[in-house]
Amino acid sequence: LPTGSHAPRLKENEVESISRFLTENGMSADPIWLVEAHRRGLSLAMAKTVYDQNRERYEGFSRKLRQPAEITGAALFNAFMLDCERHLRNRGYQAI
Amino acid sequence: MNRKESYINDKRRVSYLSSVYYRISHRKSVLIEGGYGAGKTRFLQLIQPKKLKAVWVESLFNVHEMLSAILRDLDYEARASYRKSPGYLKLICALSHFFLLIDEANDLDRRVWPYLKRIIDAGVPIVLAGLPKVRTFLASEHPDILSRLKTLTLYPIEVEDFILQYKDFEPEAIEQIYASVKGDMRKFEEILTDCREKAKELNHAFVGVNLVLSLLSESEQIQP
Repeated sequence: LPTGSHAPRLKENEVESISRFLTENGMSADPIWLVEAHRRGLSLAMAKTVYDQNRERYEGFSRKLRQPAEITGAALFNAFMLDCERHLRNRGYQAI
Repeated sequence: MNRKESYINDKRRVSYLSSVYYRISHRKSVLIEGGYGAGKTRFLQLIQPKKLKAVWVESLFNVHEMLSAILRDLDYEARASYRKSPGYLKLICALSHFFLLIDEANDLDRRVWPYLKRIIDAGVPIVLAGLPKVRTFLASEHPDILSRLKTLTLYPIEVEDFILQYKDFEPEAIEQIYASVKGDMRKFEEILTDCREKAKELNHAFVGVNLVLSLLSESEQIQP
């Protein structure tokens, strides 16, 4: 069987894809909260929509914060999750 | 308690309160379920109908103490006693100008439930509040009681309501606190108090998001 970098990789699941997307955009994702949100309807497509709709808010928020990068990342993730909650609520899903 | 002072303008809670008033005015009972810190106790404190006296029942009491305590609250002389409990139950079932409020219903002794059923059936409304496990317990052990109750599930208040309520906090600051407590409103209020105290120490008239994040990271409430 091939080993190391040649070994076949498992395809990432949707929560992992959302997490990677958020990390690429400077957020520190909490996997437990993401799993919970996914269970209640959050998809990668929805995460991208919410992010795009609020991009300016996150950029402004990020500029405003005078915190270490990890705390800023966690704070951005919190803001993102609350936006997801609003989005899901408007679409008739139960609150996260 | 002044309703305006203590009540956050949350549409779901307003609707629940109307539903509770409707039920108890029709001599029917209600179960309010919610997780830790969802605001069950505060919600119960808001139930103050004009025509019915509220009698708070301690859920840790055994059945004899409970029956006598209800009667004492209604100005009867009653001493908890095994022998007198049947008479007390009969008297409670015959009265009609009050309703019972039972918080922490998850603490109720399982032997109390059949007595509560008799009281419900006599037309004395009971408003119970407890963790979701109360409903699970009733569904398996006393489906007949559960069928007599309307269940209202209390979710934590939405962040927008808090933003409107706490004008001395930056909206983003409230969001960060709200997100970090994950629905525990007791913890939410504790953090609000800590932040206000810190802002006072620093002579800030307004609680900003950076101050909140610093406090949350100190208390490990926010973690990367």
